[in-house]
Amino acid sequence: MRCDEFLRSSRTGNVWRRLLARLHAARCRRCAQLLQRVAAMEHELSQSPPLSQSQRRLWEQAMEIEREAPARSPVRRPLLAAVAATLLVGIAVAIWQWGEGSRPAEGPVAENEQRQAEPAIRESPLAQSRDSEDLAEIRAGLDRLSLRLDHLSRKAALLNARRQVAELIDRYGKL
Amino acid sequence: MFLDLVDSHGSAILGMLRRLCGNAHDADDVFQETAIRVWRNLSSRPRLRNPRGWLVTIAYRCFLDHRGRRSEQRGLEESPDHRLRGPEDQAEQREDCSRLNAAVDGLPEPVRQVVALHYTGGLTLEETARVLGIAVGTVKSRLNSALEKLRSVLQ
Repeated sequence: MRCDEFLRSSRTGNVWRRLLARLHAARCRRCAQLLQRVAAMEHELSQSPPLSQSQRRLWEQAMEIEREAPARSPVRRPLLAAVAATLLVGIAVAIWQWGEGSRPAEGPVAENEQRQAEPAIRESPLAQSRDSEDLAEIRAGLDRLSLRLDHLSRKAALLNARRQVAELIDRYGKL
Repeated sequence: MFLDLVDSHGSAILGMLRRLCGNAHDADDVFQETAIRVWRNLSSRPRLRNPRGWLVTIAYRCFLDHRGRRSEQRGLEESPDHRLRGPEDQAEQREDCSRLNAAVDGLPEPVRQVVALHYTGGLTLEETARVLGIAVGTVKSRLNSALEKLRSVLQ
């Protein structure tokens, strides 16, 4: 083994190369000194001062931070579910009102208006059937929305339950 | 268990983070971030075969995240931080005066990471390669290059 290969072989070589490096160091004084210096350097690199109280406290604080965190999170999820449900209800009401507004109004004034409009309606029975189709479509949409709302609220309840179970397992699993 | 980990490996983890971050303040931040992640994940790992390797991996990932955030912030920072230096920072400054530490700080970052993970973090060459996502051969060549440079600086 040559001296310029020594360091590489002794530190990162395979078993055979390391053995050769050791044998080389036994014969070559310069490489033996180099090996000593490198070993001292490696020893120093692997040393780290012991943790101070404040540094250990950083670790303990992390535990406290995380213990407090789950207390906040269960509030967030139902809140989000409530906001989503309110939005959906709002949309559903808006669609319903729009559907109601497009219906012919009742009462004497409306009857007169209806009478005036009658010839036009009679002229186009297609328009009448289109209105009733629209209405049916809106009602079907509303039904779908209310089903979706039920589904979402069940899902939110299930998620909460799962979270609580996980927390209980976390808490009592460690005891 | 959680506090046992810091008692057994905390000093090495913090030492490694100091080498990676280059200063005590950032290293302490990353150390606490590491503690939070360890606490979160400890319950899912009742048995740790290699606690040191696990901790070093988490600490290294925290360092990468922290470095990413710092580089984003650096673009926004206009003036340097003029906070008063505490006794720990002063001690660190003294420590930095050591030639070996100065020499390690002067190494290129990929090489310094290998030194920090292998020597200070105590990972094997294979574990270091896995954490860094590089080949073992690359780790070896970086380590050789580090030893050559440190040796030439210290001679």
